[in-house]
Amino acid sequence: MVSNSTLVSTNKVLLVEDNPGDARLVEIYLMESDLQNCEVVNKITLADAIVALETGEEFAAILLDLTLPDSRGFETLERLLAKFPQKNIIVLTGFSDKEMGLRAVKAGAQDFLVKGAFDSEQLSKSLRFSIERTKVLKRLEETQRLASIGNWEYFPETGDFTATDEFFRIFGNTDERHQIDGEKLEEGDCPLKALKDIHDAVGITGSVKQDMKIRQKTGAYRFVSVKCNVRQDENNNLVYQGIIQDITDRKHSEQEAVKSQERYQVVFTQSKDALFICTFDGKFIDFNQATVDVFGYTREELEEIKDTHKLYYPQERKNEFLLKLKAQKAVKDFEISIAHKSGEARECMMTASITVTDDFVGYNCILRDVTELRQAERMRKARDLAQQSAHMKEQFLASISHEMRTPMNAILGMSNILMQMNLAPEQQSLVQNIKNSSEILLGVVSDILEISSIQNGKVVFENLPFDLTELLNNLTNVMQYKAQEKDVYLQINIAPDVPRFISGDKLRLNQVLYNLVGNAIKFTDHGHVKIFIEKLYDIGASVQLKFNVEDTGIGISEDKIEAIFETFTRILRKDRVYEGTGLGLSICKNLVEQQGGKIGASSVEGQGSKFFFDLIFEMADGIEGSGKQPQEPVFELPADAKFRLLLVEDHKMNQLVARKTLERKWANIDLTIADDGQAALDLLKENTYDIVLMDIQMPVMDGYEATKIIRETFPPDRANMIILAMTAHAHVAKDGKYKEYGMDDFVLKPFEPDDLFQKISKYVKHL
Amino acid sequence: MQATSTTHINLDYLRLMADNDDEMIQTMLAMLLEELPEEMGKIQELCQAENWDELTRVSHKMKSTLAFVGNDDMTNANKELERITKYKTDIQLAPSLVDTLNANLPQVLEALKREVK
Repeated sequence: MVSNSTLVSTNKVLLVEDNPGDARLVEIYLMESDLQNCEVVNKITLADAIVALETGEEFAAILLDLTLPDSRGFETLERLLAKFPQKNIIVLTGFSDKEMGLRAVKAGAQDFLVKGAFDSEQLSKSLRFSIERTKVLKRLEETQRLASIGNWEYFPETGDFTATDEFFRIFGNTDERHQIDGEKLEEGDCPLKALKDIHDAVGITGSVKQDMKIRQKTGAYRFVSVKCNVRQDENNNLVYQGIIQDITDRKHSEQEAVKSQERYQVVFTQSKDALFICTFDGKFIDFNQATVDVFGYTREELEEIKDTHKLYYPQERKNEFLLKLKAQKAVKDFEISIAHKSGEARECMMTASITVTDDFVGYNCILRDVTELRQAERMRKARDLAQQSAHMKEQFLASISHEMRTPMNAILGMSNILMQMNLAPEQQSLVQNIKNSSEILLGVVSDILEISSIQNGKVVFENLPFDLTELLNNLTNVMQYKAQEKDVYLQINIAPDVPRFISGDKLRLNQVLYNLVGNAIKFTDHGHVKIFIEKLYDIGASVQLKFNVEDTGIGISEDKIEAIFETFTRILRKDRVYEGTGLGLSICKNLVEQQGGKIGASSVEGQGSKFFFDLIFEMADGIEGSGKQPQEPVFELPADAKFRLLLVEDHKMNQLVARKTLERKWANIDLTIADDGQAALDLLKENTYDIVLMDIQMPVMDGYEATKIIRETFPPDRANMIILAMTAHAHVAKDGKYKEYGMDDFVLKPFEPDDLFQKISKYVKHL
Repeated sequence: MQATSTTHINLDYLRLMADNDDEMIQTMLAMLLEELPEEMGKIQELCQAENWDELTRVSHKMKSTLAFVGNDDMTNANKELERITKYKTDIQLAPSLVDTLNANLPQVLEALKREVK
């Protein structure tokens, strides 16, 4: 201990002696003694001694001569003892005053030595006892300090008041400790006034034990626990004895505990997770509202369930949980299912730890219902998978369609050649059938590719002004032939309030109408197909139009009409097979709905069907630069047309084939060939052309880059030229990728001559 | 109308595109005889140098050439070669595909020469 070592190192002895000879003698004896490190502090008067003691200097013992310049006889001892009752005082008496020594010990001195009669050994023995006693007292003081316990005695008769250091520390006024007396206790501002009340109470009851709050001089409060008794001393005077313990820290932690308990209670009650305390037998000791919600039982029902573990499953998982918990003392995020009262399975995560108190062994647990979370995760996974497979399907379809087009084109091309030869009528008819079937197959490939890209949200709808009347006229012109072949009368009616110029996706509208009208003609052998367009509403600057296609065909039975717009639904008739993929109406539905419209059908079997859809269009003022006639037949440039065409293509054989094909068709064509994009740019610096056929993949500079440069850097007569992409990749065309690079249209390679002729005619005629 | 093992080539598409014009057919045959070995040489070189990007381009060009030849083995091998070099998947198969192309080349050239008048 610190105090111990301090004593060993410097055992100070206060020698209160006015006779230098006697003082010197004590010092000599001390040096001769076996006491180590004893330092003597000599004071001549009692007053000096008291000052030394009051300054707080520690002395293991006081050697006190009773006859001093300022105090004589027994009073000297009494005065010192009154001030310092705990001190070890060894009284030095004259030879004749031996009686005085005995009296002194009786009064509270520790020992006495007769001057001239004691030797080194006696002094040493007496001092050693003092030193040991001081150590014990020190330890006691230390213990009191550690326990924050102080004690006091009060003698009302004399007004004497003694107390330990810790007592004064508790009251926060160690400085005043030596000035406390009965009067002081009565003073209003003295913190010790509290003691008076206690003494008064003890006066009545004999003893008091209470917790109280005291106020220190600084204004700080301490919580204390006080015990006080009263007894009578040998002179029948009252002595109050008390102990006081500082319990402020304990109080604070109690208050903290209460606060923490309150906070815990809030968390406990308001938590969305089930929180509960449970025995290992599965009995709930305490649980919150969320527990009630998760399990679905009422609070009362849960309290009555003897083994809540039975609500967990699978059984092995529950056993695993308990084993793991017991082995590891805690379990984190353990996945398990519980049976909700409704019978529904709830997926949960348990985090638990063992808790042991005096009267309880079990575990506390946080149980989180993750059913919805898991469902969302599964749905996300399923969605990802679906997207992935849709993407793969799309890729697959795109590549299949690409692979199919080439041989189909060959079949078609060769059928064309065959038909131009001199064939017997039967052969001619067989070839015609081959050609028809091939065209149907090509249509199927296109449909599949189309539905795939629509369903994958790949279709971007345009919003450009167009002439609705023109579109409808073109539609009837084309469809008229088919209708006439079948003795079907095709009629179109447009309500007068339908605006002629509207803004929207012309191609897609055309596609839907072709499909519906085509179907109507296909399934009608006699009678009519009527197209009727009406305006439903004006919506600001937009207009909602309804398109109706009515036929007198075979009709659709009531049970089939629901499914008619689903993928691969086909009209099956015993007596007849209608060609098609069953994709057409599904494509229409997707196209209409993705533009925010609705499509529907009504039908009476055997009498006819009516298909209708509505779409919203912005109204347009007209079409810029449109000098076109509303009615236009499919146009092909005459054989003697003169125009300039630039073919940009690196493949020599393709160059040759294209040149031959085009020159055969149009003898007066002025055709120039550039081997790559850069060569094309060089030619364009000096020349102008009516149309450019641009291969995409070429060395030096590809078709995309060349087009971009032409569009961006050349003078208007060349920057605005018609440029057609030539590509062997179906996706370049389907995704409209060529448009991103500023090309007007595309031709698929290996090209089909008619397709090439049509595309060129379509654009060159407008020049 | 597939190329048989005895003919190795199928010139239907070539004839279609040449509009059965003999002179044109002969020109195209001459071009094939010139371009096929040249393109094959490039493909082999690029494959050895593992220059996949350039190989994709040459293979793409070769696709147009092979369309006129009509040899399925070569067409398919070349198509696959273009795909794997473009997407860099199963790239280790490239040399064997080039071998397939090479293996077919002599017979194809022989067959083409027989068509030359």
